[in-house]
Amino acid sequence: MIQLNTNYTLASSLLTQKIDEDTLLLDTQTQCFYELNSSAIILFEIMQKHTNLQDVYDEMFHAFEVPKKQLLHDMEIFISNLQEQNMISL
Amino acid sequence: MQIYNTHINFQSSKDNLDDFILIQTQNISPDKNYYCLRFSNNQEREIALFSTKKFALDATAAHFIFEIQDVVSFSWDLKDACISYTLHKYGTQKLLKYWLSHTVFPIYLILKKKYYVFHVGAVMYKNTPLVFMAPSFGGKSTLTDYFLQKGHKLITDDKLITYKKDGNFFALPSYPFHRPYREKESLGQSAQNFETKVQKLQTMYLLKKVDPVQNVFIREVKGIEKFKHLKYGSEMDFEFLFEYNTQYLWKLCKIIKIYELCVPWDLNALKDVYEKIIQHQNSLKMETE
Repeated sequence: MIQLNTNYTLASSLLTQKIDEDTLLLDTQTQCFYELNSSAIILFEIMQKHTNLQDVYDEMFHAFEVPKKQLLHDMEIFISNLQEQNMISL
Repeated sequence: MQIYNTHINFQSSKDNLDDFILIQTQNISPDKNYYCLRFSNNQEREIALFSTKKFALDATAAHFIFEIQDVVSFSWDLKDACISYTLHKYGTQKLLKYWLSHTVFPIYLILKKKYYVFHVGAVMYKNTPLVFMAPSFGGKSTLTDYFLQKGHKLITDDKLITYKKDGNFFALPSYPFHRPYREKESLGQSAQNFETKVQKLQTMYLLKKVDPVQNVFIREVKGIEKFKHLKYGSEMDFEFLFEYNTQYLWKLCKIIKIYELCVPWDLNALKDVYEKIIQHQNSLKMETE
């Protein structure tokens, strides 16, 4: 369970690129590519603007009116994926 | 640069490679201060690239040596329009020409970080380059050869050197040889009908083998699939140039179209494949007019 009042830092080695309807996330450190789905794209873009998970949550909630539980769940999964690939430090 | 009495016109690039020269010299050999990158599975030769600087994206002013063991060594500085060579005990003029054209000169251009090389076949159709991408033994040379037999000009049978300029991408003509057969360390047969001008890249065809009884089919490839195919079609995709190469491909993805061409795996189907490509190109031209 993530604690919203947590600061985070995204790896500086990350780049994103939109190609037609798809978005690629590239880690220049590991030279690995990842495909972001539509929710992940939005979440990642918002995370790039902030450094605290509460701010990310607030912006997502106000912009998309997603049920709180669903939003928290989606954020957890996404952050967990980023952590597995060493793309984020909390 | 003059090879085989054919000038390669580089006037549209930023380099003045019209003055490029090849010099024979003696005793090109890396000492222990060189960094080394070994290549695997290269026509049963021991091959390595040496550099006086660590292989890195921002490495400049390095001196390079490319060695095909017991055959020939080449050396160059990136700032010079010159490559020196030394023949070793098994070196011949034929092998010199092969390794220079097929491998060393493309590497020289890649290391300048102004050019990007694809492993493809390419021919001309009505002022448009048609580029055929496929893994090894995927039919590129066979299809390229068929087009040559139909009177189309050859751009390349193996390596397409590209560069970006003013928001567009261009292809340089390669060496005027093609290989409708497989032979080690051979450039193949001389191509009489050879394109010598730089061409603007617009489309690429990705060859996909299908069952001989299936029909020829073309569909546009988009998104991440497009990027993946360009990446796998790349030649000499050096790890230390990863970020630069990725950015190049990302920009290329925005400009050119890629089509998957399903090729029934039967030589008798080549005529159908050819006609389908021509039909497709004609319909694309009508769309843009």
